[in-house]
Amino acid sequence: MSVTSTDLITVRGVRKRFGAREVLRDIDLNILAGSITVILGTNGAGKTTLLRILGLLEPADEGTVAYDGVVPGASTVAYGTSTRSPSQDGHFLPLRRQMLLAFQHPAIFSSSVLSNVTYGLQLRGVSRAEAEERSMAALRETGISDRARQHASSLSGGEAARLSVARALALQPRLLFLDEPSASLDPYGTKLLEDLLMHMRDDLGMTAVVVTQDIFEARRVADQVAFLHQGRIIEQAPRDDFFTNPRDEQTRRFAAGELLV
Amino acid sequence: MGDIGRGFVQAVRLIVSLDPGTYEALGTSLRVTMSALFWSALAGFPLGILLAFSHFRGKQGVMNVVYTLMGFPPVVAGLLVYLLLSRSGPLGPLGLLYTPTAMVIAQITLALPVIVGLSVLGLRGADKGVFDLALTLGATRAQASIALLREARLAILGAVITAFGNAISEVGAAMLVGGNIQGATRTLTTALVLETRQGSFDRAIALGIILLLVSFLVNVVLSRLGEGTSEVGNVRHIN
Ligand SMILES: Nc1ncnc2c1ncn2[C@@H]1O[C@H](COP(=O)(O)OP(=O)(O)O)[C@@H](O)[C@H]1O
Ligand SMILES: [Mg+2]
Repeated sequence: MSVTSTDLITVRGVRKRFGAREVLRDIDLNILAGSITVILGTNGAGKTTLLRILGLLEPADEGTVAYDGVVPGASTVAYGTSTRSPSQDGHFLPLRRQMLLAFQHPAIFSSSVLSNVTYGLQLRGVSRAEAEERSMAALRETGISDRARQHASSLSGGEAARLSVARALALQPRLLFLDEPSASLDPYGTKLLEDLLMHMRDDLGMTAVVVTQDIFEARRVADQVAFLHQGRIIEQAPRDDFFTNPRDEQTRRFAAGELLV
Repeated sequence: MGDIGRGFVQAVRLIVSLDPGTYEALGTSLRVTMSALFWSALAGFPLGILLAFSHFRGKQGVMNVVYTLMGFPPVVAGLLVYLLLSRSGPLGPLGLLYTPTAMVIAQITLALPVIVGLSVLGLRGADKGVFDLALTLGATRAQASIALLREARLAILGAVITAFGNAISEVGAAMLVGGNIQGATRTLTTALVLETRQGSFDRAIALGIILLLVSFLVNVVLSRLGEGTSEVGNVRHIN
């Protein structure tokens, strides 16, 4: 794998440990611009951790993550500080504002549903009126516009997941990370999400990285599939190759729904 | 009519007749408590944020000290401040003993740990995910901290109310370092002690009722302030 001009994200040698536990081991991954990459993996494989590193919410212990071929904060290495935290401002804020991560367990501000959506827009200097208009449109598309003035903590799990999707719709990030988005969605919500995802890819050129445990969802939406197992990327391939012609035996068994040992 | 009933009538009488002694004591109580609260909040909330979100060796030890100081007996705090400020003490030359400033200092030692301790507990209890949520939505770290503080606003309000209640109702420290000097350092509580000692139970009960009334009014105002709006945070002017 080499850095190509179409890579939006290039991950090289990323490692992460929590205490003595090695959660990510030597991750190499290429996220193609304008594509949907699905990361498949079992519980505890390190999917959420990887997504948080890509979303600049957590630093890697080792390795690099380049965006458009540039490793953010890398210039500071020359001054002897090689481990800048990605959540530090300055180097990372403009980049962070091009991306959005929807968490596995949807987080909400304790305020109205509407202001949960407008917040990100207003941070970007969008006027209040326009922010509310765009947010209402996003809430309508996700089917929860009648909850707009309600307190967000009163939403059900599935509605909160729809709220996460509405944020993405309103912000239209260049890069969207979804952590098991359909886990709490009903079949309609899942369909809605998958349609929106492909629409944003096709019409807005958005790049998405979607974590899921659902092989069938991967088959439906993925352009690229990466299989993460015990902290390693076992295989990354275009969807059809991944499912019909896996190079790795573990991948074949996972894709076939067999148990891994 | 019993003592309490008479006290109530007397309280109304003292209030409507604008009794100078009572209003002076009330004024001193409020001034001392409010300035102690102001300084404690100014130092205490940043300290609380720092302690809630930083990791360093010995942090648990610091927290244990803070939690212990939250229950610090006011007379002991008063004694320490007294020893500091007394003529032969290290800060004796400042001549602060038996002044309202001395009382403010004593009350800060009581209110500060309450503010720090309760804000740490409140911030830790607030949904941590909110900080990351704000970041991924494009907030700076400062803006994300504001969003988190807003999540913990009820706990913060609780800290202020508790500190206020402790400070305005304590008598031991105010007596020791203030000296209950009429027209200078006499507060509602020290006046109440004096009236009780002199057997003027009516006036004592009246002072107690006024104290409760003031606490009630201040809490109503504080709660109003803490209710806030339905906004996540005022982001209109930050960019
Ligand atoms: N902040 C953390 N501290 C300690 N261990 C963690 C932390 N976050 C994740 N882990 C551990 O790392 C492993 C991978 O977690 P995660 O990335 O959430 O897996 P996945 O999303 O694939 O289920 C798990 O064993 C989890 O317990
Ligand atoms: Mg996960």
